Amino acid sequence: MLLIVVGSILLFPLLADGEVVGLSDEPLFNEANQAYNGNDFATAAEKYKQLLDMGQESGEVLYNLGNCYFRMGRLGNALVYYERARRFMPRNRNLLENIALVESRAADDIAPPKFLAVVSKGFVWHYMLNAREASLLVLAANAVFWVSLCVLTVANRRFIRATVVLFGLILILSGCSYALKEMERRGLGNAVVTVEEAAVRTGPGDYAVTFNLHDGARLRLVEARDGWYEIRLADGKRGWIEKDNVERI
Amino acid sequence: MGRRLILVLVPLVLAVASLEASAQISFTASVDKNVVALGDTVVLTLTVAMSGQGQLPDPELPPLIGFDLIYEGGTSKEFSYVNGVMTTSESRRYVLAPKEEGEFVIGAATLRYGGSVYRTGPIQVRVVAASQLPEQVPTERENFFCTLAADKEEAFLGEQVNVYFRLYVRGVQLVGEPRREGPATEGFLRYDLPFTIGREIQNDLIYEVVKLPIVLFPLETGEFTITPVVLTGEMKVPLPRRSSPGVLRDFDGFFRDRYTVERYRLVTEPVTILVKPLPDEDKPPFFSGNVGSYSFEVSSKPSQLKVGEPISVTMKITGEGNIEAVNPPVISDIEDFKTYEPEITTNVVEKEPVFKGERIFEAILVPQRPGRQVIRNVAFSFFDPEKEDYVTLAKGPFEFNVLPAPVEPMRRVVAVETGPGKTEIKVVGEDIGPIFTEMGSAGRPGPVEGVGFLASLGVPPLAYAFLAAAVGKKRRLASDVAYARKQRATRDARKRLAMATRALKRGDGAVFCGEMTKAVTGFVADKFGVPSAGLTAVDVREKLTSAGAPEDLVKRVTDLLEACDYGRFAATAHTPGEMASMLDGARYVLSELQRVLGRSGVADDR
Repeated sequence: MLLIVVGSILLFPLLADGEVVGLSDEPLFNEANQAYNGNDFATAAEKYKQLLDMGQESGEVLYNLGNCYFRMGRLGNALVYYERARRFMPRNRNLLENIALVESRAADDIAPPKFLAVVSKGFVWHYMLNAREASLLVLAANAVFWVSLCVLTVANRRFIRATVVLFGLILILSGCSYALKEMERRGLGNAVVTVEEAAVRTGPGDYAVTFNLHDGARLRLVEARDGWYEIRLADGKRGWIEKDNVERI
Repeated sequence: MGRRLILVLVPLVLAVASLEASAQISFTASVDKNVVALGDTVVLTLTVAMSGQGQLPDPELPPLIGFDLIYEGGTSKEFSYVNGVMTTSESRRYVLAPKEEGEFVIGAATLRYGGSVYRTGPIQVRVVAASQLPEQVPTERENFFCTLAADKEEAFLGEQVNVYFRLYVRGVQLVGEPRREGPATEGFLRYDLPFTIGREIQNDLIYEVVKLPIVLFPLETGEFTITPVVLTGEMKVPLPRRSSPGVLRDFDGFFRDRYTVERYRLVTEPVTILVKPLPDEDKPPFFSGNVGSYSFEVSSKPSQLKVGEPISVTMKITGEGNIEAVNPPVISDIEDFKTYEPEITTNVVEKEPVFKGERIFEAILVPQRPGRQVIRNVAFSFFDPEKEDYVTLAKGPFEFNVLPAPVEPMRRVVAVETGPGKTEIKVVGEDIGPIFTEMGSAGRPGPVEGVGFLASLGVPPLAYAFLAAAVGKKRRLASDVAYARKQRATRDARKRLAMATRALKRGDGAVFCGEMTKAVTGFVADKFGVPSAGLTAVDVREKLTSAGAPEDLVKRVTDLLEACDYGRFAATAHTPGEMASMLDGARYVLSELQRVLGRSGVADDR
């Protein structure tokens, strides 16, 4: 009980964060949905984008926009919006399946090294939580850990010791996940190729082409320079690609 | 004879005598040379031509003064139709050998036909010694030369220029293939065409001509020089004949060539071409550099289709110009279409004198939205060098009825349990999930951050730090007596002073002094960890002095203790005022002792 009270007090300033949807934007959303159901995907996409421009950025709008691009055959743009929706709803089943479907249709098969794939599977919670949830988990784990430690100081009980160890572990793991998400957020992040074919060169300019990437290929942005991005693929390949050929997630 | 073989290409007619002929008959005589060396031969040709049908009569030879008739060289006949009238001609050749040097006249030959007599004119022939006849080595200018020429001196950028290299040969026998260097055509796109062989007349002389056409398209503006062609090789040069006459020796020479092989080197003149830029005036905005004269056709299919299905737009360019380099036409209004690089087919029909053919572009457009889609026009622009003006040909509009795309067959992507705690996304269908019907909450997906976040992170460990310190202190107080006494010293001293204050107010001097003594000695005993009972002023002095307390403080403490001792045993030893002063003094010394021996001051509890 003490833990809950103390934790709530400590987290109270943060729990009241968030904004409420503007109900006046619902008609535009409904119009967009109608256009989509009438197979007018370009019109539907325009309306979803209007909603985003108006500040109504939600996982649902981003997901629907991704669907529009998928229907128009633009895999890269679809993947970009699906990934943006994932920040809001990282565990939505339909979204995950759509992402898998887009990736299965992408022309480039870029497989990460085996050990990285194993690590990714081991740290599955990192991908199940968005940045906000990860930061709240850090706060909660932090509060419970220290409160447990306080209790342990005055009452040395076995279950309290176990609580301290457990939440200490949760704190470390969630802290690492949060730190990774923060690094990714503050850096250039990831991007997706959104053109039919894009050349990847050895330098930012008229350099030799080392390989080509196609619509829907995922890449990590390392550096930005003069209209070019230095990129790195999951399989370790590196190069430079024109900014106009990709869209950041 | 050797000379006769050399002249096998085309015999040269040096002198022709013609005779007045009837409307139906023409009778002519000619020789192949007017100057002949003694020992050589001259060929007399008598030609009878008759229009209409009939048997040609035989001519009669003229008197051959100064010549021997070696033999009759043969007869050739020729038939021709002119304006519906057939003409028959027959030529008879007579080989004559001169007998001696001098000027001779071959008299008139005679032809009798239809009651008329036809005669040729006399022919003069000069017979000279063999040594007096110039060497029959062909000179460059006369019998063997080459030229390089362009069909125009000025051209627009991209306009076709034809350059011809010609090798003229007359009576020359080449040994092997000649070697050609050049021409260099920097600044031009070049097509070398196959050479042709023909005949040309230059200065009344018939030449065998080898013609090599080179088609050029200027790539840059300015003045360009096409470098000369250099032709090298070997040729046979006949040796001069021996001067001794005699038919037999000549007969022997008739069958044996006498020549030497010499090298030759022919060089043409260079050719200069001025390439003019295309005019800027009236240049269409989407002109892409096409030069020539073209026609343009466009077709598209289908006109009704679904979203995502392709439209094929076929654009055919036909005409004259560098058809292989023609750039595609421009299609307007393709914002709602996905486009692909067009497929190109080129068919060149002819390259010289004019490059001509057709080039077909097949563009694929994929509509992205349903409804009526219109391409307003497809335009093709080129510069016509003949008109010296730009021409734009446009076709359209093209309308398409685009129906919505069909629903794709369902194939779901699902997470499949592949083992304990393991899931794998598997594609079991081909469709994406449905859209959301609720808009959801707009919010920030980013992490919680800011002062509140930092405070929430920092407060728990701070609270733990304070708690840990407090609990630790408590435990020490419980376990460490000396430490506890030191911590309690000030508090206990204050209690004693409070009791002394109450005694003072009651006027009980003995109790006052007793409490005062306990306060001071108890404080010192707690600070030093010694029993307070039996601690005398002397002991206090020693303790304080060993702790480095100032001497005056030590004296004040001992004086206070002595005064309290006196007051304990003599109830009226001190007046209330003195006792109040002693109380202040006690507070002062305790405060100073606290400072010297440890922290915290003594609070005023009066």
